[in-house]
Amino acid sequence: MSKKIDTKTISFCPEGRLRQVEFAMESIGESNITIGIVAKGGIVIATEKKETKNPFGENFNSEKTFIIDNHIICAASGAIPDSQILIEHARIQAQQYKKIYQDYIPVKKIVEIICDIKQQFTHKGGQRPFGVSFLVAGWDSSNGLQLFRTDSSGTFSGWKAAAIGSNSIINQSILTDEYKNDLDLNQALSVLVKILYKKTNSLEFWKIIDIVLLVLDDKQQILIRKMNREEVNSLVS
Amino acid sequence: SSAIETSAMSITEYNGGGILAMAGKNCVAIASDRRYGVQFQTMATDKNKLYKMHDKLYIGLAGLATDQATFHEKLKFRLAMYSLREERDIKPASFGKLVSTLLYERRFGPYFCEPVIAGLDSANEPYLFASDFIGAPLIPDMDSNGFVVAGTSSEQLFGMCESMWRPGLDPEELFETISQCLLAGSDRDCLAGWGGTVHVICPDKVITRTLRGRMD
Repeated sequence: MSKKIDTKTISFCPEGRLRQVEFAMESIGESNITIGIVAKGGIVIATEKKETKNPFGENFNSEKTFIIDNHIICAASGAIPDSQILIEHARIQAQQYKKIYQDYIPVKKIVEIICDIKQQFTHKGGQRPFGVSFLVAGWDSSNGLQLFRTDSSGTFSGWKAAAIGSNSIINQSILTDEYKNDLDLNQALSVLVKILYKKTNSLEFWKIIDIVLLVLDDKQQILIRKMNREEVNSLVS
Repeated sequence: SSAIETSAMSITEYNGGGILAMAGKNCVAIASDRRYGVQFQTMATDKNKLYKMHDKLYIGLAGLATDQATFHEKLKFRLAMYSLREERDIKPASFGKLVSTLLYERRFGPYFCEPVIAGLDSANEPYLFASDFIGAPLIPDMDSNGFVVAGTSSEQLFGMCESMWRPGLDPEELFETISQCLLAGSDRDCLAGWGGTVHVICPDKVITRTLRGRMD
């Protein structure tokens, strides 16, 4: 067997690793930064986006942030077309669950569903793995506010604050330093700004950042919203 | 005491009920009775047969109660997927077509429910729709008969609406008209009644009221 790049996704390399999966993670490591932080009363996710003029106007699901159901949001780093397939599948599964159980699907279950698909593409079929990592944030009645991070191999883990995309190792260590257990949403937003703002030089912060909030109010109602232009700019002015 | 024997009733009369919807000037109203029965036995008097799809779209389902519940869940599923993919609320006319299509998919093993849809389109013009249980649509002409009915009391409701409805009713008049039609219509049907629920859909709000009629 050739010791160079292993072209079969379904084989281990001589060192016992899945090379294609690692290459997929390399590709994610070159793509947009996404950061998620669990705060008291909500979760905030921010993702870098390219500065482009959107001819269709600013709507929620711009580029890299998605609603899966009314209680789960998610942001992607990596090959966005790959993410669309997984998001579509996740949305259908969330509705199937609701149809059978009349209840919101648990966050962990949605993450498992996405990861099971990702794993299949590292196991059989000879197709390349999904080159996308997700941060999935949501609330359910059993476990409250949760944030999960998934990668190309189909591994997932729960986090209080997580960074994916480029410079994720550096950003993750900044989060480790800055995160405190009882951060409120505003403090979480300033931690985000600390990491993301130095990546941009322009004062028009809103053009290159999408910030999405999942907020839990006192009546246990969940509100999902994207911060608008003024709110995003006011974070750095 | 003697139990009521099971009678050979049609499957669409098993649970009973009456639903109607009427159009006014930039408003629509939809109303239903509140009886939930098993043949001649009344089980509950607070059954909800009207479901909100979004702020300007309501559907009422008459017929077999278990099919009402299941069909409603199917619609909720499709509506959620629609708004996630399209990032907007479905137009009433598209929703009417969706309901028709979903019912016809089960042409040879149908859902025994008859839908009545009331909504306001993007120009706040009223939209009404009814169909049989395999999806044949009825969209009435708003100028001459802006009302649709369904359920075991449909014939009584048709008669009431025919005499009492006129075009151009404002929300309060529409509420009065639809309430009187519902109560009088279901009074003459032993399988429907026990009060009523009315939603009046206006461009900026929905007014919901519960009616107290002959409780029998």
